[in-house]
Amino acid sequence: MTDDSPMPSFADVFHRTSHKQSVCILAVLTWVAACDGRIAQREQALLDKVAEAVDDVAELGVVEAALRLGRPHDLELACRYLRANLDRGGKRLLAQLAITMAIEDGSLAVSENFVLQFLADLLGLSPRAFAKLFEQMAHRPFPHAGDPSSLRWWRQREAGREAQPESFAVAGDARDDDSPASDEPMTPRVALRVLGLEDGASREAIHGAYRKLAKTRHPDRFAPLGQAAVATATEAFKRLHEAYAVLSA
Amino acid sequence: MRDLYKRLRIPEDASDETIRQALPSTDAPLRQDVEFVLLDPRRRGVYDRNRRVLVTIGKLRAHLGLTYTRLWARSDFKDFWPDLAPADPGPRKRRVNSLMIAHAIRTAHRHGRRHAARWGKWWISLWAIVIFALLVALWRHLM
Repeated sequence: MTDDSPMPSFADVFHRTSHKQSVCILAVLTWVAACDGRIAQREQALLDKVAEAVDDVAELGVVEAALRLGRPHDLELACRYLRANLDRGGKRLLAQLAITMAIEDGSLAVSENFVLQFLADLLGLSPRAFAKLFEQMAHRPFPHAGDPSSLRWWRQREAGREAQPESFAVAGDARDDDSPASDEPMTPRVALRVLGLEDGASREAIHGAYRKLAKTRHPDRFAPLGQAAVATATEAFKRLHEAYAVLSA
Repeated sequence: MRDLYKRLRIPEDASDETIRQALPSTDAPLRQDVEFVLLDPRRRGVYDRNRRVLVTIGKLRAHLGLTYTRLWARSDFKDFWPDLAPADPGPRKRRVNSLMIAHAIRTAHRHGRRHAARWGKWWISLWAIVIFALLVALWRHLM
């Protein structure tokens, strides 16, 4: 979308709507989904569901289209509103939702790592609190983003991928940004990644991880953030359930 | 993460030829990194994507007052601090530096102290005169 497009801008939608919180949450989640360069089919489906969930805001699609470009002034508007209007509990829930969105495919891209760090600062979470929250939501420690501008990082990454072509995303810091990880079918290996487990995890470990994640990612927990947040959490929860169903079959 | 384009002083859409031309002016470790990352289309694509995210985050942090926060490793991302000062502030008649500001504050303090002292003495004198006048009036009344 360009500036001379007939579609209204994000700022227009924001000022007109009475669901400012939902619009801003959708904006932030769209940025999390799009920051790795493209919105995968699953992420697109998830965002469409969120837009449908908020009936009164017909222009949520516009928000999503505008925010795909990651324009700083649109994001700034959304960030300012959320920082000023969410209470402490709401900020924590939003951070959890952003983590859920980022690790929806079971891995964390470098760009998603950067965005999550920014959101943690925006929402007033200390590095320690955020790392703990990430571990609760992803069932694995928060990885270090690394330095994609250095030769060393690339050599380590490429050596890792050659040695373990498929499990790289589980073992390494981040997934290969070129692969459409979010659109992968739910194979047992992908399911293990979604549950934050290594290859060869026992049935008890799978059950334990699912129970733990189901408790933290349950959609009802996100009700205070509004319909958009609940819709996002519901779709993400379905993915978790799908992973568990594949592993327990 | 470094902004390799900024370090090379070239635009982000620079061609491979432009990048090669900029290489001799850099130090050896940076040259190795640039050759490995920017002169490979696949690696450059991934690097550009991450860089764009950091540029956006840098602007957001600056505008939202989040540049000096705990999770933002300033030494790692110093290339992504946007310059908030106007690009061309125009001709300035006089340069102001921190020493001049410190001198001005010190002078103001000294002046303030002297001023306060003078006012204090003036009030003491006034009160002394008033009390003396009252005592004289009282003595004359009693006598």
